[in-house]
Amino acid sequence: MERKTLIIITVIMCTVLCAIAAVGQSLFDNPDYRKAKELNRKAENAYEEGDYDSAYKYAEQAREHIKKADTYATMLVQRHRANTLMQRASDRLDLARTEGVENDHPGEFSQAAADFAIAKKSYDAEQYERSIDYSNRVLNVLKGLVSSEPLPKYYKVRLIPRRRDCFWRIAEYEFIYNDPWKWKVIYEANKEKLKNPDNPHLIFPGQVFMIPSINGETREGMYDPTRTYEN
Amino acid sequence: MKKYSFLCIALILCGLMISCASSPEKKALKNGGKASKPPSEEYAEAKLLREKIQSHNLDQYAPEEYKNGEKEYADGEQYYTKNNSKSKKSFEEAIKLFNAVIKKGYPAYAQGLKNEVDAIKKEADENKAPVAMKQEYAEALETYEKGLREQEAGNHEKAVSLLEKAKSLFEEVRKQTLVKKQRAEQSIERSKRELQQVEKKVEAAGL
Repeated sequence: MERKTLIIITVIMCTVLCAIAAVGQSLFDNPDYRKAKELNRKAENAYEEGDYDSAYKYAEQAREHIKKADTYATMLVQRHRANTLMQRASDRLDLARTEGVENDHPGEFSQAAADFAIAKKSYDAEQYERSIDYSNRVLNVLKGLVSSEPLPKYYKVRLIPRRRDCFWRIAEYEFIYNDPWKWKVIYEANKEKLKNPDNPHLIFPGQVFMIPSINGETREGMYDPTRTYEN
Repeated sequence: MKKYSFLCIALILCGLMISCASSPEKKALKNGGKASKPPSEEYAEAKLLREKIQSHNLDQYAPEEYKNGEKEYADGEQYYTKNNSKSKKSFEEAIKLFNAVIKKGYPAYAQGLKNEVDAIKKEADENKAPVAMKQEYAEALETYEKGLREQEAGNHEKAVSLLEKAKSLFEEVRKQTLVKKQRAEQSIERSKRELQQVEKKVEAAGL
């Protein structure tokens, strides 16, 4: 009985550790980012006490860590972009298969498939720039060969009785970002259009928001609910 | 022979009389009681006191005495070597008046100086100089406190010297503190701004 409990505890702990490791890939978990934050706090405390030499020293040390954190942030952004584009390329390849592009345009299809393989391999090798480049090649090759609509660049806030539009829900739409956590991107890009720029909760039906392209995706025109968009 | 000896003695006596009649003292007496030598010591002392007054602008605390002292000093200079007795008298009077100026001026000047040091010290304290410039501040403070002790003991001249030194030390401490403060401020600001830029980069990508 005791042995069983021990095994269960070990399994739970391993799961938690794996989860932490998986989720821990964010800027806020980056050791340099955290160290920079800590040094900035120290610098401010030293400054408050009048120990300006130490304050300067801590702030300069923080800047060194910020440089490294910036490199890490750039990598995160690139990786996210590469991942999103690779997913899109994969979806387009699947759609091409479904729509018979493989038979109708075998040359283009095999080219796209080969490019996709390179994109994937580059991604695994952490060569995100290269991966992005090859995913874009896949999308370009298949452009016009499979049915698609570019994603909308503008979105007009709608009056939906059961699902009131807000930045969170707009970001959640598949044709927007398919991720509600990205609401801030839309908010920041349209802040000046709001009645109260400091209050992201106050938006009204009829307001038109620009949707920034965050992963190199093509966006054109106003969102049309009657159209089908590629995701 | 006796006749020759008498003549020689008479000639020597005449010679002595002539030489005594032309001595500087007799000349001075003849010229209205001029001193035999110029009053160089009095002149030097008056000059020194005058410089002391001028270097600290002590005349503002006893303008009447200073004005009269200046007049006597000018007279002393005017009669110097021409009428040394008059010159000496003028210099002596100038010394008396200049000393009166110093007696009145130094305490007032020391107090004014203390007020100035207090103002500089206050600004340095507000900018946390005791922490930012620990050693230099301690040295300035020690000098300042010594100055205050001399002032309390009535040694105003010594107090002025110490307070002047303290003023210069505190001024340097104040300046250097501000330089250090500004440098730290700028560095903290830069660091915060750069960190925000990194955060925004990630945020813009929706991460």
